[in-house]
Amino acid sequence: MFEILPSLNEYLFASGLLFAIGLAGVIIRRNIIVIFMCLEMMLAAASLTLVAFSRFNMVGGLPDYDGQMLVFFIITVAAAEVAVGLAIIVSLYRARQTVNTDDLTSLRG
Amino acid sequence: MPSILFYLFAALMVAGGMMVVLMRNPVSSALSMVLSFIGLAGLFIGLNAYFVGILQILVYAGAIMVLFIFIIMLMDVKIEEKGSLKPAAVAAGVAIPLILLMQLMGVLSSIENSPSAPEINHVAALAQTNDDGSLTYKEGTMINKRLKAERLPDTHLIGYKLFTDYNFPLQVIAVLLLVATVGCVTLSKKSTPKAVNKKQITQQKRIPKVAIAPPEKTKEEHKKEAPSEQSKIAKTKEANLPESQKPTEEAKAPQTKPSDTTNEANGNRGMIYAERPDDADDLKIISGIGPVIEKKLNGFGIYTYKQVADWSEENITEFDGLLSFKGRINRDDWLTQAAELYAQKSA
Repeated sequence: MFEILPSLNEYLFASGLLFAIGLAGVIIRRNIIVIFMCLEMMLAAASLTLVAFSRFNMVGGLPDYDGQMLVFFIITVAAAEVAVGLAIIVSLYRARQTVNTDDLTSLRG
Repeated sequence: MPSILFYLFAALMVAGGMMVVLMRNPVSSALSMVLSFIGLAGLFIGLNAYFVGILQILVYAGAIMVLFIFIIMLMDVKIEEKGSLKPAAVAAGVAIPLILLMQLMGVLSSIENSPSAPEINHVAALAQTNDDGSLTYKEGTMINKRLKAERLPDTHLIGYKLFTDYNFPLQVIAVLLLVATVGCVTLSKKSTPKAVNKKQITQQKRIPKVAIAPPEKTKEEHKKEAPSEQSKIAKTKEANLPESQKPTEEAKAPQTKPSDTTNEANGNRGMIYAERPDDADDLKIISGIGPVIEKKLNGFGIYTYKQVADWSEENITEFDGLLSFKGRINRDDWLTQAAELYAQKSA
């Protein structure tokens, strides 16, 4: 066990596990901030898959850096998304005094 | 990466993720998320993606989580109560990810002899050529030097990629960040309330108001509430009645006419209802009042636009305190809004 390097399957499974946990959090939790954190976790899980594929797919003796470029862009977009999302949550809180999704029913038909 | 480290970091990542979902305090969730991202960064570094790993720690564990914790502290979010979760949501939240995982396991188990990470071949990397036959990583460049020293110039390679193949996306991302910055500023800017006749309204409403509460009931309530008003207010429906400043005197004072319960007796709450009136208005229409505040206001006996429109300055101070936010009533100009709505209603 100590000599064997982890295989691609193991990385993919770890990533899938993190994604599933994030998905569970999005469905179960009612606090909109925690839901947002779980979304970030799902994004990070996707990044792990990309980095793993990048490392296991060698191009000219080096890892395939296209995968890591995508991760770079995901991280940038995620940072912008968090900033805007949290600004929306703050203005939502100002207007409604709550962050519980059960209390936010204005759009319910 | 030796397997033991892989399992250590993967376990850290998954455990952190579980804690984000399971912790009921949002601050604990945020801190568990830092833990999870540190584990993830460890995995990245184990995959020779040193730059991305460091970026993960700097951007996620550093910047983004600090932002999250900042917002949580700013909003004074309470810990979720037990049993606030819906059983259906929990069942779906467990079942759907489980199905996803089972599918993933089905696919992964069908792959036999999944490979370990191939060795990095520095010689092959050095020998890479462009279409015209020239070396991709030219002599004398940092990438070339590092590769000759049998090391992986990870950051340099990312920089090389970023400014050759990915130059256009990089600039698009820059525009996106600019737009996000503008968006944040616009969103978090306070909307300035229109300062229409605010003074006039408050001055008009200085005149003591007549309470609509039925007098017999008022008397009862005063007696009841005398020992511990605050707890009763929380518990009972009749709590809609005023919290009196001098309970004993109030209780003794004979109250024959509705008009006896004036502003002062109401503890600066203006006119209030003991029970929900038939013509109760939808206070949520007033900008700044949501379902939660409406419920609170109803708890204090405020049901109609007229009541809100008639608030005096003392009333506003009182409700500012009761609803535990400073200046909001004036900032959103509830009085004008309510006055307009009342005018519409009675028209």
